[in-house]
Amino acid sequence: MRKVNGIISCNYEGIHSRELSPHRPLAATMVGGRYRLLDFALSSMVNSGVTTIGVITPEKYRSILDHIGAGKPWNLDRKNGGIYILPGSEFGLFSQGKKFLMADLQRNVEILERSSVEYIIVSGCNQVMNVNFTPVVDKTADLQADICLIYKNIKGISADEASGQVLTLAADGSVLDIIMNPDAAGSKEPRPWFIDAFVIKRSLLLKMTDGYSGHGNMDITQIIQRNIQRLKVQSYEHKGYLGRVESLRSYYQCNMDLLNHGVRHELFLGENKIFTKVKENPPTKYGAWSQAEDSIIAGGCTVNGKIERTVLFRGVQVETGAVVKNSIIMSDSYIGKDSILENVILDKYTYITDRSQIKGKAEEPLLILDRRMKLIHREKEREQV
Amino acid sequence: MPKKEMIAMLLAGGQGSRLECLTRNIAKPAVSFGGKYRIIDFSLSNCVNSGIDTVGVLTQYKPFLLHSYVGIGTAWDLDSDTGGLHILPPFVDEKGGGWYQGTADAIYRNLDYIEQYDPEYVLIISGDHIYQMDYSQMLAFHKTQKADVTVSVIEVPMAEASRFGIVVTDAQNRIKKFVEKPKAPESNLASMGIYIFNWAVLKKALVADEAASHSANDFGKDILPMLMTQKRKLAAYRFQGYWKDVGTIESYYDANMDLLAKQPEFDIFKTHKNIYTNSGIYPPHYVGKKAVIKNSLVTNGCTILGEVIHSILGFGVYVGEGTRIEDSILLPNCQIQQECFVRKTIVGENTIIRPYCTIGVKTNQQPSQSGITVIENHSEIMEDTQLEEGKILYRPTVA
Repeated sequence: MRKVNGIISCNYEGIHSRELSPHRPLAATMVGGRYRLLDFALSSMVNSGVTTIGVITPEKYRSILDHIGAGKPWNLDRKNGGIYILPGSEFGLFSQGKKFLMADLQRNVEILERSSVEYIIVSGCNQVMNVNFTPVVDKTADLQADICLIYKNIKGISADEASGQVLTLAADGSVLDIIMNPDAAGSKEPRPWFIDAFVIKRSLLLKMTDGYSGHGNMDITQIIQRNIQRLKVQSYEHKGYLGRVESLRSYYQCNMDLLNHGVRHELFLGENKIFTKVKENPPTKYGAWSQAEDSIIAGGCTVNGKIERTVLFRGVQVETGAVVKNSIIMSDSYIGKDSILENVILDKYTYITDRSQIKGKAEEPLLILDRRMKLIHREKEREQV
Repeated sequence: MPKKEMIAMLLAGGQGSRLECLTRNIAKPAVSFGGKYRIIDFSLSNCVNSGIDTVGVLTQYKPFLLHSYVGIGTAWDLDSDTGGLHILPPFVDEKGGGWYQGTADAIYRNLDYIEQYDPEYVLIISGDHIYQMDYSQMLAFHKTQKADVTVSVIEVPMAEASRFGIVVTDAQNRIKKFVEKPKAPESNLASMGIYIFNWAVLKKALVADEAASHSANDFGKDILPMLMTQKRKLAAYRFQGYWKDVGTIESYYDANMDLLAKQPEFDIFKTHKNIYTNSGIYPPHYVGKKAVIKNSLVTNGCTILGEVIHSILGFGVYVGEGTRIEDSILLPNCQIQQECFVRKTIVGENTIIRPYCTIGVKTNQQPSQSGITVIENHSEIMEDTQLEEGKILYRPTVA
């Protein structure tokens, strides 16, 4: 593998991403029982041999710093390279909808200047994927391209993805155009959707930060599109799974996709693992009356009720008689006796009282932010002290 | 090196031969326990939770897995510049060298290691018990007793007392008598193999013991009796709580199954101090559409398509469709393929059981070790195999 560096832009807020959580950035959103969205891009880079990675932070970045720490779970606590936290520059309206804000790079240009590598892998932070970037870098170098955009052929699209970009490709794979916000109705044929990850020459990226010094609110992909005639832009097809979290609905879908055997194997059980921050939890305990089917369950849970087509995060308690169906239950939540939950997403520390009944719609799951378990935990800690 | 008040020396070199095939290729402290842990996790976590930041781990028998598992102690927050975890294998010096001859010899040979920290006290523990204990409370007791040595003791049933080192104390908890494995025990206070020594006393005792030609170089057999005859002050610290030796197949099995009790005496969910472990990278476990799981512990990375009843599953275990697992312990990464029936069995790490096998078949004879079947790590059981209960299946060795 050629020596390359990585940049992950977490300073991204989509039109709908606030639906998920008002207090947590998209990159730190919890998926799949024990991961945060950022883990997928980060692990993909690490598994591709990248040992120097910059993470551009959004406005409320406490949870991201807490999660990454010194980068140990990704083997990024190193003397040479490692993880670099790059403070995001502009927030709110200025950057909304922008995935790769030029101002963020300009503010952190040192990471590019101090490096000596030829290529940089740039990725967004909201994709559920396990991508090997090595062949992408190789292709870029072999064809002596300036940029290589990664795409996936997707049939039709949901309204969420309307904010994405479709590539116009020539027969030789070179990119002729990038169509911003294409018609949501789309065509029935699969179209090459840009997956928010690309390889670019470091020298070119530096030139861009200089040349667009007065245009900090531009997205790098916009700059590429404007200069598409002058640059040698290639493409690379990602054939594996891609989930993209843009809204409550796509969040729900991405989690449910993981119940699929093939997707789970590709993401988690192959040679390249998805790394994440480790917490010390005991194994999950099933009681005498537990029933579980077609579900993903993280460590430290206590299951005494019934769960079906559900994702349980760490430390969730499901009491006897409770029935949880088609739901996502985030860490340390409590589901009281004989409660019935269907099509709901419970945020961290939610407390569901005994005999509650909460049902969302299948096409529009219900999100509950409660955090009462946090108070209960605190109370317990006080007792122990 | 900065001076330390107390450092720990963890004896992890024993073979644990009574665990049969489970310890044929790995040291006992490295044997998997409770799905997520290895036996040494409990002692190491106790050290960290007691505020001890310097631990010497003495290894000898088949140490490869143990060494790679423990590493530099990162998983227990013991990777530190001013102490931390050090693996201390046997070594040679200008006078020769050789294997550790006993527990006392192992510590004697590492006197220099202890010396560099110049501690007031040395805690001697082993890596083969399941318990949670705050050693700092024991140290506080040691200080108020103004003892030379404090031995941690626990009450055991009188009937089992002859298996342990038995301590007789006076009303002030001073040890009056110490007998290793007595035929006719005079009390039911058993030594837990946990000692706090004043460093000066320990050093002198080890040097004297090494010079004695007839000594077995063992703490229980030699060092403590010697100190008794020297009229040193030995105190007994009465530990209350769960403490289990997992030295035999039966006790290992029982200690695991204890975790499944409705209100376990040792509740890994209720301990307010973490039990740290060096866990691998595994996704949450997946439970299939036809799966049934009752009264069980399941660890990350498992895929369960069949039935799991009253069992413990380690990391990355696979249970195929139509398979039923009962009263069993499946160690990390083992694979039970479809349509098998596994009863009261310990299945080794990375072992594969092919389809249509029945393991733990009941017989008319009295089975050995309470009918627990054991299959060694890295074994492969061929399709349609029937294995009787109480069997210990070793992997065939390559000539």
